[in-house]
Order: sequence, then C-alpha cells, then structure tokens
Amino acid sequence: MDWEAIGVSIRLALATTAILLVIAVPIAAWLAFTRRRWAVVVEAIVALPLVLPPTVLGYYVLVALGTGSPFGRWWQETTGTTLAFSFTGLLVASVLYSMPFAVQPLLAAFAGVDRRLLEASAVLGRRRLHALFRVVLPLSRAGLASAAVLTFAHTVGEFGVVLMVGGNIPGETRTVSVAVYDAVQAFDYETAGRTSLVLLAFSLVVLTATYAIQRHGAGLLVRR
Amino acid sequence: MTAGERMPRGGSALHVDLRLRDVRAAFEVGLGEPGVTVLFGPSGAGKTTVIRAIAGLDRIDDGEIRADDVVWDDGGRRVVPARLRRVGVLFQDRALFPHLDVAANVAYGLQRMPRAERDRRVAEVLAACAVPGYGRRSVRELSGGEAQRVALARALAPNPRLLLLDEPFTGLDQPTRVRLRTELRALVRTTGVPAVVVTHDRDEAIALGDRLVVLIDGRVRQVDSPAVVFDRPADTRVAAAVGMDTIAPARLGGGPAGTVDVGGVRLVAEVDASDLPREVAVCLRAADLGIAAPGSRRPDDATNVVPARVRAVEESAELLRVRLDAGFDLDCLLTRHDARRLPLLPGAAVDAVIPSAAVHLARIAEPV
Repeated sequence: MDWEAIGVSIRLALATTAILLVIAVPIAAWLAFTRRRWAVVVEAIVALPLVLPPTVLGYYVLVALGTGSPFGRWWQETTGTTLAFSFTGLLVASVLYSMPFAVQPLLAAFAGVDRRLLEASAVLGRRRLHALFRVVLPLSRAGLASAAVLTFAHTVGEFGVVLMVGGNIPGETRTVSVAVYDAVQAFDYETAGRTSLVLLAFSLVVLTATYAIQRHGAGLLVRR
Repeated sequence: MTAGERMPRGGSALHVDLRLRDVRAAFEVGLGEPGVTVLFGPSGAGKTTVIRAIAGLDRIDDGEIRADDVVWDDGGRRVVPARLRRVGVLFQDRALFPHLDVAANVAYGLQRMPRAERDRRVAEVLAACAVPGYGRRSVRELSGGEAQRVALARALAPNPRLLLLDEPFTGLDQPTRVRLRTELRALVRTTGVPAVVVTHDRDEAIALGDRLVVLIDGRVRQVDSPAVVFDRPADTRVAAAVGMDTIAPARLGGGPAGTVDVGGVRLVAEVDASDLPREVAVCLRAADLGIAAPGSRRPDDATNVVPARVRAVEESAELLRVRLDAGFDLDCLLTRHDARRLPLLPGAAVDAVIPSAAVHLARIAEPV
C-alpha cells in the first residue's frame, strides 16, 4: 500500500480546497451580482475545465509553468525552483482544474439569496463587502459546504492533470490515482486493490459526513 | 402638476423630477419637518418605481433627484449611492435578515458605534416601535405585525433623514393594519422623520397622509391634502382612484353659475367653475346622496331632487347600494333604516336627493 501517495493526495486536496474557497468566493460573488454583460464570458472560462480533457488543460498549464514561459522564468529566477513537476505546480494546476466545482455551488447559493436583503443592506448604509460577509455568506452555508466537498473530492480523483503537470515523483507529485495506475501497469493487482479500497472508503466517509452535516445542521460547519 | 400644490415650507426639501422607463413624476417632499406624504395610486401606477429611485436602488433615465442642493441622481454620471443617502426603507416584504435575531437586524445599520451605545439605541427603537424586549427573538418566529414593527425599527435606527414605506401594511389582517397605521402616524410625529408612504388603499391614504401625491399611469395628477383630493379630485382618473361612485360626463353653463347639465338633467353644484372647461364630469359619492319617495322633497338652492328609476339593489350587512337611472347612472348608499319605507324594487320610481355641496366637477382626463 502506497501511504506516501495517499499523503500527497490528501495534502493536495486540502491545499486546493483552502485556496479555492478563498478565490472562488469573490469570483462567484462577482458573477452573481454583476450586471456586466461579459460576465457570461468569465462564467464560461471558469467552467472550461468541465469540458476540456485533463490532458489539454494539463498541457497548457505545463507550458505556462515551464521555463519557456515568462511566468515560469520569473518563478525560477525568484524562487530558484521550477513549477513543472513539483508539488506547487501540481497545486496550481489543481486549483484551475477544480475551479468550477468551487465556483458553481457558490454561484448557485449566492444567486439564491434574496436581492431584497442586499438592497436592505445598502439603504442601511453598508457597503457591498459588508453585505457579502454579514448576509450573503451566512445564508450560503450549504453552498460553501458543497463547494468544499466537491473541490476536495474532485482533487482526490484527479489523474490526467497530475500526470501531465506533476509526473510521478514519489512523495512530491505521485498521488493515489497515479499510484494505482502504476501498480496496475506493473500487474501488482494486490497493491492496486488495497490502495483503491482505502481511497474508496475514505471518499465514502467524507461524502457521507458532509451530506449528513448539510442535511441536519449546516450550523455545525460554519459559525452562525 | 395640478393646481393647489402646497410647497413644503421651511427650505429643506427633496426635489423629485424623474423619468424612469414609462414613469414621469415631479413632486417635492419636505425634509425639515415631520409629515407623511402619501404616494397614492392604483397598482401598476409606478409608485414603487418612484421610491426605489429615491432610495437609490434604481437609477433614473432622465431628470433629477436632489436633496436641497445635493444631486442624488441626474440620470447621467452624478449619483449618490443608496448607502450614503440616509434614507430608511420599509420594504413591502419586510426583507428582514433571516439569519440574524431581532437585535442584530436592528443594529445592522448602526456603524462605528460603541457596543453599549448600540445596544441602547436598539432597545430604544424597539420600544418606540412597540416591540420592546424582542431583541433575542428569531425573526422567523415573528408574526406579520411584529415583523413589520421590527423592520420599521431597523429602518429608523440609523436616524434617517427620510423614511420610505412601500405598501407597509400588505399581508396583515384588518385589525392589525388599523392599529399599525395609527402607531405609524404617531411614530412619525414623535421621531420627526418625514415619511413617504406608498399605498393604493384609500383608507390608508386618508388616515396617514398630510399630503397626497396622486400617481396614475406613471404621471402625477394631483398634489393636495387628502381632504381636497378625495372631495375635489382634479380629473376623472383621480376621481376613479379615490372611489367616486358616479362619474358622468356633463356640460357647464346654461343657468346660474355652477349649473351643469348631466344627461339632460340640470344639477346645481356649489363649486367655482370659472377655470373649468365647458365639458366636465360630475363626480358624486354614493354615501352623500339620499332617496325620497316621489314628490316628497322639494328642490332648493342647496338640494337637487332628480326623478329616477331603481335599476338594482345590492344588499350588504349594514348598507344598501341602490343603483338608479336618473338620466345617467347614479349610485346611492342607504342605511337599512332609511331604506325601510322606500319602494326599492327594480323599475320603481323614486327621487334622488343630491345636495349641491356634494356635486363635484372634475376635468375629463385626457387619455394617456
């Protein structure tokens, strides 16, 4: 059993979820409340990873992160490391790849908040940012929970992007999905089976717990 | 704008002269003194559009909204955002924050205030709105009337310079409506915050308003005291909106001043008709009229007596509405007591008694 790979997967999923919640809230809030027509373009870009094959997305990320690109070069000059085939690079790719899984539940939740409440906030003299934190987010707890779970689960299940951007470095970029694939390639069905089972059980437990929280008390998850 | 508008005294005023979609409205609201301006008109007249523009929730297409010399919205680049206008709004559906308790709802608009002071202010406005000690309650548990009071407290807490109330009593039962509007009127007096109340309800308009702005089909048609609007509507559309039971086309002139010809019947009206056109409409309230047995009443200067036939009688618990044909359609409201000795069967001949003081002449509204 590849415990190291399980560790990498969980670390990657946790970090991706944390980063995406911070990034996705302002994006979803803007999309939900803007009146700009080109918001649909942004919405489409955010949703791209849903339709693009992971290899295509991975290819673009690899090119963008590699030392051939201005960003990749700048990163290398500043940090002395390369992004491609590193955990950080993998994290960047993961964040992009899971973006729709964070943004869309939040967008749905924000759009479901009664506009009248935002108007009430405005006429009471409060800024929109205040309304976001005091009204919109507290009323979107279920959406926040869904966004977190879906992002986490989707990241754990990544395969194509990991292979393209991260490669297969044990303890660094070798995730569970890649480890299972390797084991199968090597006809080591026993290891593949055990690792798969752990992943299956883990995913099931996380999802069950989350849906239970959503159903019986979102208050447990986010402070009222 | 029609004749008889009372300009707000004492300087400070909100000047509204706007076009937003198909609504054009011009009127003023005094900001210096407490008082209730009722924006009155049938549903779909554009009342909510107007107060949303005043609150800053919608931009106007054209015109100007100005508080004294500060332009709030000029339909172009200049705009003061809603949060800086200090206008309290009571939304038709209350719009209380469902995840916050009553105290947190009321405190929402109190910025940069020490906690103790904020708590004191919350307790103060809750008490003023007749929901003292409700702070810890969940807003989901409030009755309609309580929610309305809490929403009012929330709007008043930051000490607005103007209060806007959009159909404030919809969805409440009749006794609660009556109680709340009495309280609201007293509250506006004591807090000194001028208010604009939107309503299509005639009783509410009369009970609450110091001044009525009548808005019909997106146009202001009359600005006057409630008594004047209801007794002397400027035109036939206002007359219909204030519930005149009879509105019949008529022609001025012929005999002495104030004599008018309605469907071949000559009526004396106690009005100054000097600035009216020849073609007008006679407006009558059913409750002002009486019915007498044929030939039992003599006409005099103050009373018109018109022979008529009963068309139909509609009974309700207290009153009878008698529909007459007097050369024109005429409705009378009688008490059961008054109706007792009259032959009120369809087709019966009676005399309609129309006090000349009850005959109002209005302009015929041009079609919009």
